[in-house]
Amino acid sequence: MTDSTEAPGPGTDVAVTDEGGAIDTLAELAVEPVEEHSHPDAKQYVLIAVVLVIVTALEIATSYIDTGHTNWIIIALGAMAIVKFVLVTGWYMHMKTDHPLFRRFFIVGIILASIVYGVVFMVFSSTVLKS
Amino acid sequence: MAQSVIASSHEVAPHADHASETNTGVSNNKLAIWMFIASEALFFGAFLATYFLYRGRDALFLKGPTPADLLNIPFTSVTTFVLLMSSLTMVLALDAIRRGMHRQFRVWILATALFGLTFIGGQVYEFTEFYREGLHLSTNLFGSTFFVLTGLHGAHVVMGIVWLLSLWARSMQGRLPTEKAEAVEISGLYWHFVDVVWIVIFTAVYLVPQK
Repeated sequence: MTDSTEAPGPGTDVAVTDEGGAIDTLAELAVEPVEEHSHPDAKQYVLIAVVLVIVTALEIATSYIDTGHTNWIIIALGAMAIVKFVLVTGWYMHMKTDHPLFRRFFIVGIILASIVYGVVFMVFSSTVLKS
Repeated sequence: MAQSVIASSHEVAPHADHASETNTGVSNNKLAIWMFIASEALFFGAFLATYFLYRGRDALFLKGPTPADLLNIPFTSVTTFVLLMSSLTMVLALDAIRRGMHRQFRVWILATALFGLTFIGGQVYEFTEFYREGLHLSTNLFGSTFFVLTGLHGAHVVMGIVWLLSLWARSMQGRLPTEKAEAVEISGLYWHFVDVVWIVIFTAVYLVPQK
């Protein structure tokens, strides 16, 4: 079951008031022409699970590496977590193939969260905890 | 353009796809779950930021067991694999119901719930062990931030399990036809998000080296 985004046919003569600016904007955003993609099949889902397991195993192995370069290990772990994050959201949550409106909502949420908590983290770590 | 979209929504046939009945052209239910997920990203972001803010600062405030003393990475790795596998069975359940294979759907959805229960069992064991070692919610900063962050995630997993089992029960009663596969998709989105949150927590709390 996929979401269709049928555009309205021309010549529709139903009287509609144009009061809801926000609704108009959202509707225009959502009904832009979208190329529908089919969702992955069962084989692709299994393949993604195999990749997720391999990346997780690599992550765990990386965490045991005993070097003096802690920052590089943190960067490597972060990169692998991002790969897993993208695989699950993109394919299992169908973000890659579904309507772009869903992707926009999610990405805006993630960006807002990153900005808000980044600022909170910097402010508190530099003032409150050192006082 | 928007006027004609709204106009078309009044002319939709009664049995048309849910998506075409809305102003946005997408399913309201799916839009709602994506907005909920975006708000959940903010919710978990707050607790992750707090965890990192207080990480490694116990020496300045309180005494007690540290992450290095307690965290059992091999054990948590197993529960992490279990949760990852539950995401696979979840998408297979969705794939099955879309193809009208209800028996397969029930097997996969039940497997997903059982994987979730296994994960929760592991978390209960871990919490119990930590408690025996002397780490309580108020012992130190690590205890407070760890129990709140992972405990809230566990609560989300429990809610997901209840949701999945309710879908299984509906299917057993024949009240979940293929036309209602979107209900499975929506529960799947929630379940995968809970998995994604654990991907971040596992890396941030368990794997990132303690300085």
